Formats: sequence, structure tokens, C-alpha cells
Amino acid sequence: MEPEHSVSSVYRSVIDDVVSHIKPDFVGEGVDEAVLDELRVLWETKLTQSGALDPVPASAPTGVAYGTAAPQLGYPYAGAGMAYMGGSSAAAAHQHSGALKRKLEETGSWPTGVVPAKHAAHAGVIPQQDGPADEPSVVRAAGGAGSSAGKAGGGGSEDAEEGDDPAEKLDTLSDVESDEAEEDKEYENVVVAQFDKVTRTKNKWKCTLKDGVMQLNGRDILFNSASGEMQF
Amino acid sequence: MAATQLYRQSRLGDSLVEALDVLVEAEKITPELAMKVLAEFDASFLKALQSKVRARTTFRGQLDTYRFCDNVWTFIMSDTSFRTVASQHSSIGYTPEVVLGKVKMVCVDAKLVEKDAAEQQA
Repeated sequence: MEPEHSVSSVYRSVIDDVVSHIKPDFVGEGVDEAVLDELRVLWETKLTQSGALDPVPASAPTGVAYGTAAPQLGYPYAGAGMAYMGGSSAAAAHQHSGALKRKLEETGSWPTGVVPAKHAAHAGVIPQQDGPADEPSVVRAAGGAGSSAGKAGGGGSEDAEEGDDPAEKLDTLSDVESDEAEEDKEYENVVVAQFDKVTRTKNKWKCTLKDGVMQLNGRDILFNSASGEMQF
Repeated sequence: MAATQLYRQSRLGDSLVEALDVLVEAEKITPELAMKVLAEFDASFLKALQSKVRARTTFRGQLDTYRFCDNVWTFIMSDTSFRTVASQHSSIGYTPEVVLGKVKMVCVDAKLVEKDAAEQQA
């Protein structure tokens, strides 16, 4: 197997990249650099809790050995991050989840989803791109993160929030709508990618994808390109 | 929505949104600054995927539902198997992954992502 960046090393390089690029904006707005450090700690901690990032080994820094990302930083915040999230602050974080989404929706600058807002509202479906799930019934792959936060995620559509019992809700929907309701629920296995080509012959579908992020059986896998065959 | 925002749905993006949420709620940063961070993330993760990832995946499965809306394909699949090799020219070191449960696949038009990314750089 030739050398390949591990998923964790790619993720760490993205975190480093974002933090270093955004620094001038923090300085420009007069935000203390400690807040930027806090952002990194929170981000890494939540990612580790989700299971997508391998925890940094205490002694051997193998996790960053073959990444190109500034390993000299040494991720000094990993330990502190755990402590930070260990106590009541973790609960507080969950309670506040969704607030950013709400605020940004008020300012009109927040993307409402992959699907245009009009269509999404019609279907009662807001594709979840951020934050914990809006529906209390959702089971999260990683456990813990977000499972208690369902009710706090007030940013979704009103349609999606009404009715606590999903089964009861489904009864009132037509076949088509229940398909879309199925799309709305949070999946443990998710693939996010770009498509080059999607074709169909009778019930056989073929697609070629690129630059994908897969979350399968709790593990993250990245691909440069992908091809798939599906039977409808 | 700019097509470049698709990766905010990944766990890496989702974790960042949650982290920013905490800071905005605590009024340590403004929502506007949070949006700038997310835009930076969009560009950074896309670049990392393009430059650092060589793996190639093939998959087969049952397609339960499909939808094409606003240049986004959404597939819900079941009984899907994924096979990932480390690079285009390698057949060893593959990772077979059989997913018994459902898989949701969200695919944004690659041409749109390219276009939006170019516009944002300009």
C-alpha cells in the first residue's frame, strides 16, 4: 500500500488550514486570539466525539507523521479539549446547539439546504447540514453528541418539528411524502460527494462521483473518485 | 446555496458548525465571523480532498429512492457494498465495507462546485 494520507491527517490539515487562514479576520474584528484557540479545541473535540477523528496518541505523534500539515503545532489543545467538554460545559454546548442556525436564518445569510427553501418547505423537509438533528427520535451514529439536543435545534422548519411521534406523522403522509420523510431522517451511513455523471437504463443506475466523504459503519473514508451501480 | 457548501454535511463540517454555534451563543464571535469561518472551511476541505486524497471507491447496492432537485442527486440505498483502494493504480490494500443498513448519498453537480469555487476565489 503506497503512502496515503490518513483520514485523520487530512482532517487535521483542514483544521490547521482554516484556523490559520481565518486568523486575520479574527484580528480584524478585534476578537481575542484565545477565542480562535477555543474554536479549534471545540472543533477537534466534537469531531473526536463523533468518532470521525482518531484521538491524538499521548506519546507517539504517529497521527500527524505523514500529514503535510504543520505538525510543529503538536495539537496542544487535545487534552484541554477533553477537559473542557468533560463537565457542564458540554451540556451547555448541547443546549445552545441550533442557535447559530437560528440567528443566521434571521439575517437571511444562512443556506437553508441543498434543496431550495421553497421546495423544502413544501415537502416539510430541510436537509440537515449542520448541528444536531431537529427530530428528537434521531439516533446518532456516534452516540452522545447531539442525542440530547434534539429539542434545542429550533432552526428547522415548523413542519419538521410538529408532532413528537414520527410514526403518527407518517400515517398521515402519502407514499411520495413518506419517501421524502425518510430522506429527512438522519442516517448513520452518509456519502457526500460531487457527481460527474448519473445515468439510468431501465432499473439500472450508474454514477461516477468524485471528491467524496463517506461515513460508513461509524468510520470516515475519503475518495478521489468513485463509480457505482445501483438497482432500483 | 453555493454548491461548495456541500461538505458542511460531513462530520468534519458538522463539528465546526457546532463549535461555531457555541461561540456565537456565548457572544464571543459574531454570526458574520462564523460565516467567514465556514466559507474558509468550504474552500479548505475541497482543496484537501482534491490534493491529498487518491483513493478510489466502487459500490453496488439497491436503490430505494432517488431524487434530483436543483442539481443535487439524493439516493437512499440499502444492501450496499463499498470497496475502496488506496489509489487509481493499486489493487492491494483495499477496504471492503459492507453496509447492511441504509445509506444516504448526496451528490452535488461537480461542474457547479467548480464554478462556485472559481467565483469565490475571484
